[in-house]
Amino acid sequence: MEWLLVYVLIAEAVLIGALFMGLVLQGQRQWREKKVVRRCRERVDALLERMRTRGAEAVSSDDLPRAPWRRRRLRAAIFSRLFASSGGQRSELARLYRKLGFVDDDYEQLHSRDWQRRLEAMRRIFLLCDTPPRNLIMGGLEDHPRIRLLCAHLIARYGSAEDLVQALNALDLPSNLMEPPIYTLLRAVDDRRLALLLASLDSLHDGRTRRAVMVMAAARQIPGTWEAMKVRRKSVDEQTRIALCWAAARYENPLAVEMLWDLLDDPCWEVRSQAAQALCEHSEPQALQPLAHAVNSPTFWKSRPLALEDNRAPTLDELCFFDDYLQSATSWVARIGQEQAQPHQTVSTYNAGTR
Amino acid sequence: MMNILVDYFFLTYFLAIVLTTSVLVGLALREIRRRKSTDLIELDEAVLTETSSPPIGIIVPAYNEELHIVSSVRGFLKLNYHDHEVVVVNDGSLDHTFKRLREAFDLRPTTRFVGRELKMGKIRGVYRSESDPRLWVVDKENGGKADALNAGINVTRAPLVCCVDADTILAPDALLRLVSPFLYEGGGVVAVGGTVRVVNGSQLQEGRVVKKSVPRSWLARFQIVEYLSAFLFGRMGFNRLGGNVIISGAAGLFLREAVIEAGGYQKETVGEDMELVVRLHRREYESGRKRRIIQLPGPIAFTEAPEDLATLARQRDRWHRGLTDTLWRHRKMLCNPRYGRIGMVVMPWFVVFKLIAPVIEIGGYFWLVWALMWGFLSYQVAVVFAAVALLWGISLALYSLLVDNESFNVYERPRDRLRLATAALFLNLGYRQFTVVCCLVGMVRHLFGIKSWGTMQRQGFEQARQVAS
Repeated sequence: MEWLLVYVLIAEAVLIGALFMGLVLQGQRQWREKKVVRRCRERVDALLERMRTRGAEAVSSDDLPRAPWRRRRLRAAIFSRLFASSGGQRSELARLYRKLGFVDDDYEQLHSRDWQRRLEAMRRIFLLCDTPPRNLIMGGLEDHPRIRLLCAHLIARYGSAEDLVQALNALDLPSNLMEPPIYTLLRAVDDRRLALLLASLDSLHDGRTRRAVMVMAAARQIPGTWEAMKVRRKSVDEQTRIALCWAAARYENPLAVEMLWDLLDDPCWEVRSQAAQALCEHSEPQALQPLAHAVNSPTFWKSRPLALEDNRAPTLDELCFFDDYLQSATSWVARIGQEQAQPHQTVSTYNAGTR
Repeated sequence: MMNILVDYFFLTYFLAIVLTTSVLVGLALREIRRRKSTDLIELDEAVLTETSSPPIGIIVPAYNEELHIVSSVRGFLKLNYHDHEVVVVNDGSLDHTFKRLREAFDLRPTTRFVGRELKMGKIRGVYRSESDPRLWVVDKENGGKADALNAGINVTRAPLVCCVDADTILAPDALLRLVSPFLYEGGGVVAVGGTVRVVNGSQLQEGRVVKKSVPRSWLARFQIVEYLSAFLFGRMGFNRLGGNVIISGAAGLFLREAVIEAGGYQKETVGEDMELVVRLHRREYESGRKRRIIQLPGPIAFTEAPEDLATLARQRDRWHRGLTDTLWRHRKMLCNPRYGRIGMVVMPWFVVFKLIAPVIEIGGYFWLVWALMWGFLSYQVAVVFAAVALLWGISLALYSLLVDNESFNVYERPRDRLRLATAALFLNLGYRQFTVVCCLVGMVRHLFGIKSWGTMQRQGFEQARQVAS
């Protein structure tokens, strides 16, 4: 027993010595790396200068260092600058990256067995705004979720509408909070392809993706948006009708306001609230009248099964959802709405109601 | 015979700690690598400009925080995110917290509707800043931190709430990092915790850390090393297992709807942050949704560590009372397969190696002395065993420094690294025993039903900066 503990003690002492040595070596390595990075930056500057003065042909993969680790450092140096740059400087760095042949390394890395290495390569391709071979990108749609997302972004930039449908269907969106990357992605899609995507809306499996496409099409006044909205007005799915509210809020057309009036009487409370919010956001002036009417109507505030039993004025809880846009909206529509709700909003009312 | 059994009990307990910690370290290393590689920073630009990105409400409960509050709020308002509001809840402060805020941000009474989704105490008024409309200040009667957090959650309309301490300093991109699992993680996310670092010794400007360095105080240095081990190994290891049960009160982002559904923060406990996270886990399992709670490895929040023994003792006492209370409240989950890895692995681990560890460690010290006095144990064995335990602690602390330097490189200067390595050497000689005694006191006080918070003696960021400079 005693001897066993002594052996463990010796092993631990060796481990601590190794860790101390590791800390020292790590410090030295990181210090050396800093110097290497600085040198790599200087090399990148020199290559950029050569490209500017003698043209893009003056730089090729022959300029790469022989040692693989030096090549990796140079690639990292270009990439870190690429990441921090924008506009013309970014495209210049991207051109240098391609001329040095690093893109081919990235394509090669997409075949790696380690998904983290594949993701690493895909992130570089994404930032380079490169157009990789179609089969590589479509293959990425069956990969790790993050790789799928980046592939979908690349397809949004350059792919066909059919590929885009496939890419959007490959995304897994279990929560509403995952929608922003889809909007970002759709922003990169041009009007022509967005119109085609809208036409094949029903082939999109996920309701959230369909909603995003419809809202984006409405915001960009894509032809065919109104028809797509009209067809879905009587949908039995509440989420589709909520999507209609979002789309109508962005669709600059009196017909959209009429649809929102209509949705103020929807049997679903959430749809009614979204319709009211959409009317507040809408730039069409005729949104006012039905909104003011809705605020005064006790049926509008029905939010829970219990409330459906009686006919009463809104409770503070029910008013809660309305507060958001009344506080933030600056339009005259919202101001009138605020006057209607003002008496319910004071802190003293809240305290009086504290149980 | 009895003596041998006791000897073997302590030895087995020690071996079990070594084994489980080694497994956690292994898991943590994989998790850190995975999290670092999957953070899609290149999409930040889009998230920053995308108007549909989820708004975030930063909830800042403030009680007697006149030293920090203005610089903290300035820092929160400056965070890199396109749509966030700051809700400061003045929880009946006895000092000039509210006055400082009113003067610095030109507060005006407003009529914002305050819902009653979570129970809370009486509100005296809601104010909005004229200089920055993203700042809301709720002035309420004192009801404790949990009550103040609940009030803040009631006031904000954002779907995501970031609960922070008033003395927390968030990194400029903290919200972007915290929100990313909500945007990209499949399977749904309920909460995301950020790794907290000690700010003592660092230089600050306008609520931001501009230069990170190690403080002169040994107590603060010990805590830096301790935080590193806890966050990098403990929490990241459990994260890998899918069962992190602590999100530091200093920085956590929660799905507001889930917090409301769970009933918000509990007023009756002093460990409200851990209690909420365990309750969220419990609800997820009971409802069958199993959305995740995630801990991020990168340093995104900085907090002031106590630099005097009395404050440290109160803090550790409170933390252990919180842990005891949470584990007791949710004892139903313990070893219950219905709660998956949380019930079968994480909670039993917390009970055995966290909750009762102070009792066993102090008991071990007493037993060592007793056995030596009565000759049950030879001096050689006692000394060698104590040395083995000590060196294990040192190697773990040094390893956490190595991992931190490699992964995040927070302290770049050799002098800082040397100071931390020295602190790692002496961490288990006195400091550890002191904190263990504080935890034991906390456990006893919990048994007597004591629920007070105690006061935190703070230096204040501005003073800390002056000291540092």
